[in-house]
Amino acid sequence: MTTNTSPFLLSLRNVHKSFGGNHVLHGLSLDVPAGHVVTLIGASGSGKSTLLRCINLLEPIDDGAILVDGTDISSPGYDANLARRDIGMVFQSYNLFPHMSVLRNITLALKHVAKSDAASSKQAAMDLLSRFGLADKADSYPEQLSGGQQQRVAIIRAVALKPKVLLLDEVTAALDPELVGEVLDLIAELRTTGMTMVLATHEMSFARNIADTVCFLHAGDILEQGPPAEVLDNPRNERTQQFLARTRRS
Amino acid sequence: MPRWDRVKQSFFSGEQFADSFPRLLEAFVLDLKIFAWSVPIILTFGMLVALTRVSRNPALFPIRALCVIYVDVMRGVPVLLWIYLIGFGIPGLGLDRPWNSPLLWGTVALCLTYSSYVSEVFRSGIEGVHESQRAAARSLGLTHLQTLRLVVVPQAVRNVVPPMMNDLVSLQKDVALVSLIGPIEILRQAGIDKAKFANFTPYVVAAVIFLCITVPLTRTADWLMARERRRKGGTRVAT
Repeated sequence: MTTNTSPFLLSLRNVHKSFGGNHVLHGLSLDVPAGHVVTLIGASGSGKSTLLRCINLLEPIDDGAILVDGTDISSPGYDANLARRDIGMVFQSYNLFPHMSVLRNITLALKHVAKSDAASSKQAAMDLLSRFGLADKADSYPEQLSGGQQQRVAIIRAVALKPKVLLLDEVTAALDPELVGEVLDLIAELRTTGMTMVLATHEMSFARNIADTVCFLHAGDILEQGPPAEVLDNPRNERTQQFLARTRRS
Repeated sequence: MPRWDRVKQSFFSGEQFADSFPRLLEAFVLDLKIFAWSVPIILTFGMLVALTRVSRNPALFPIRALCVIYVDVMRGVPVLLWIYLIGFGIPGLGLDRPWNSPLLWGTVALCLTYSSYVSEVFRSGIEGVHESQRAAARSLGLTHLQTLRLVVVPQAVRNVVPPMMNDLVSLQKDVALVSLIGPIEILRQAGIDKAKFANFTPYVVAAVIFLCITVPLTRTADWLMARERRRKGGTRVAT
């Protein structure tokens, strides 16, 4: 186990991932300092979701390393459950547990992973729900909520464990357009608390507003990265230019 | 129907009905007891087999293979045949009491066959829980076993309550098959009454008593299924 000598909270080193013969991630590297927000843009199939799933160890990587606080969590034998405590993840389809109330969705991991007692788990969950305007939904079940509310609960569920980094995978892609705003507002508010985030998105204006760094993914590698003003307004790579031209047309 | 009078006399004799009813009801208690003993065993064992079959741990491969064979073999033979084979076969080993009881081994045969049916129902329920639920649970740091216990199994059980009820209704009826190896439960008692009074009415009595249990169970299963459909179904298509 390496000690913390890395200036970056999250580092990907030459990450490779294949599904059968399909080489999805091609030696991808990325460094994320603490408190930074990185947005991943790119066409469907460019590897954004796979990258996020690999960081969360939901997919084992074939080669390379994933370092969180300087520790290689992808090394064989490293306890994935331990690593995941530091890495929150939110999915496109919310994935709330339908058989549990909003409150229990949030307290589940507090009780069973963080081993908090019932009272303090509930307190922590209620604090977060109140802060994000969902306190009155604590006893509701996911199916009784709108998509936007469900996704906000899913974000709160991930944040409740106080992860070091939060991964957001196209979290607004399944939402009706009028519900996108409330979810993006919540993410923007998390940014002000200094939460380190890596998010895949199709919302270019959001990517521009929230990101410290924008990464353009193509065929499993980062072709271009930099501040939003550079990558989104003055892309140097031809493929980035093509991709952005396509998104502007649509 | 030239012989209706005779059929009426031998199947629908009011006098015989009144005479047999209390005796058969009493015998039916044994059916209920066998049912009540069997259900928890079947549900537990069925769930264990289902969990083993869906496990992905390579170390469990031999046990997984055994479970597949067990389910195939139990499901592939009629219940009655298993009751004969196990219920006559094992007491035939000459074990001491109480291990030589056909009632015991008949019940074991029922449990073994129904556990295999029920394990398949549970398995379909577990596989019906979307992979994204597992991903969400694991991403929160829950272990594989916690994910099963807290997220997957509760949803799987909820999904399979209606088909499970159907299996339990079948079990309630198949309990009567144990009578064929000796124990005096309702069907056996009806046979005894029939022989004694040379009248078939006791069978009708037995049927009525069974219906009193199985019809409410079936209705409940239907109601649960309809509720589940409404919950999941969204908007109904008119025609």
